[in-house]
Amino acid sequence: MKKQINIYTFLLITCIIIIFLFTIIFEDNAYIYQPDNILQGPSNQHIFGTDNMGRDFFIRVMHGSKNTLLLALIVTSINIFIGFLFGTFSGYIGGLLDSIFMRIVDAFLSIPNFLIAISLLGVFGGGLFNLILFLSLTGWCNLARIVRNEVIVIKNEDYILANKVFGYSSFRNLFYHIIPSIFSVLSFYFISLFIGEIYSIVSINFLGLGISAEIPELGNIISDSKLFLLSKPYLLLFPVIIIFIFSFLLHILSDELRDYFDRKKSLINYSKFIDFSFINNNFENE
Amino acid sequence: MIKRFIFSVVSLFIVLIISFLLNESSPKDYSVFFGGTNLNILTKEAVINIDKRYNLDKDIYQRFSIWFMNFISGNFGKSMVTNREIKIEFTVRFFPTFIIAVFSIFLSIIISIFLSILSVISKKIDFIIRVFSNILISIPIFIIFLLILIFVSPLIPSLPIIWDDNFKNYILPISIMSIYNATFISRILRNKLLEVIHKEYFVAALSRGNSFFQALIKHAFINCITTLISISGIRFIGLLSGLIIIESIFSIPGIGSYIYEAILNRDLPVIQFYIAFIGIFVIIIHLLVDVVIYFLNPKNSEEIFS
Repeated sequence: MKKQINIYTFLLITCIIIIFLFTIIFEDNAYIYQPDNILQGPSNQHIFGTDNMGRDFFIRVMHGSKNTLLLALIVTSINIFIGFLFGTFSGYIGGLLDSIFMRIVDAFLSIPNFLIAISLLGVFGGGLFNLILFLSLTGWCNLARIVRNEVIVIKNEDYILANKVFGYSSFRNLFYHIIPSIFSVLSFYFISLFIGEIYSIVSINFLGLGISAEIPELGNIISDSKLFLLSKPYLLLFPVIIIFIFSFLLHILSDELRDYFDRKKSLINYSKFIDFSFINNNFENE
Repeated sequence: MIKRFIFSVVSLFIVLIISFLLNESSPKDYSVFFGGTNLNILTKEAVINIDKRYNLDKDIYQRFSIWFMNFISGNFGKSMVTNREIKIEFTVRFFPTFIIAVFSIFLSIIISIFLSILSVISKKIDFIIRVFSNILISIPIFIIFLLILIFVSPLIPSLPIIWDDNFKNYILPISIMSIYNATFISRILRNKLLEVIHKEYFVAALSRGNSFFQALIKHAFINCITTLISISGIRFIGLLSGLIIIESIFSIPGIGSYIYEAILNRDLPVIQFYIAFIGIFVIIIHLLVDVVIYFLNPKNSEEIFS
């Protein structure tokens, strides 16, 4: 189990390093317009061919995937940070503040994040700053809820009570005992949130509501190559393959991580009572 | 139970406030919308008239109370682009989206039940299903539609791609959406089933002489129905926001393409109404899911309604 997690993490990091190396070696060709080689097929000079502006498609896709990943990483980190902060304090303090906060989060959650982002981007206009701002406006709510529930469960455990009896301050309880035990949950939700942000950034840029179309970004590239859908399908395929590789690896990794944490939990719960090995032989959880 | 109803009414009110504030925070240049920025066609009186029409001369509390009372009484205002009632336009547009969403969620529930039971029964099938579903959910849904447009629809010429209000139009979106959502639902349902067959009551059911399949249907699956319902509720909402892109690509005249057109035209009353509508819709669905779960399994009620 742990071996598989290591393998997938290694593959993911190598993919990211390869993309970043390519973006360092080849310069961004976003503003180069070459009328001579418009829409050429794949060849030795241009591995993925060229697009409708005569730009090398390989370099554009590499820069695009770098930009998408960076954007998604920024948005995810902001969302994780805010959700973690609000979730922990709301769960730990509890009482009236908690219940007011949860009603607000409920209301935010009932409007899809994607809908809020695209309507605000349409009204205020696109741009890098606006994209990040509007995606992280309500993206943290789900996580805040999850973290808050975890904190409430851990808060009522016996060892926290023991700490209170010993006279430890609530600051020490929170930062030395509760927060470290949430980190395992966070690592799993970080990945699923990251995939979600990649999807929503690609979709928003595909709709033409995000950052300007000159900047290489996978959604922009796909929406450009949509025009040549039937004559040049490879222009659509290459960016899709990049998205596919990343989200596939991330999905498998998140599956493995969840199984790993579940196994840890279930070992504690069940192993005391009965030996379940006869079921495990047939229906083991990969 | 009563607490849950009160909570959802409070959330409803907050959603209305949010949708009003989102509109309020936008630059309210209605006169620019009608007159254009550079041309300055509008006289000062016309600008004042436009401001009066959209209540811009009043302060924010009065605007909110006017909008709120109108919204509750079913008067949603007029679209700024077409100058027609939003209510009428919206009800016309609501039908295709509703059909696609409801049919695909029902189909996906049926498919996911089959898939999850298969994957619990046999480990090889489970592996195949897992790989397939991981491949499918690793591609955003609108790209799947584009890929099918290129590679599959030339093979089946009888399925129309362009919308012409025929029942054949619904086949392609419904089938793809249902398979795509079924992968999401079946992943979670499978995990829940695997969790349940490790429980003691399942072992007890096996030791009473039930065959594995019987015990699976009678004891394990029945206990997963609440999970199934709550997940399908969540997916139903995800499907609605996924339909925004798909409808705008394939020019399906549903509410998704309606909001997309409104966003491109900066049609503020429509956006405001749509956000409020979706918020209310989602809250009602969550409430329905919770009520159904409460009646199916009252034991869990304390968890849900806390």
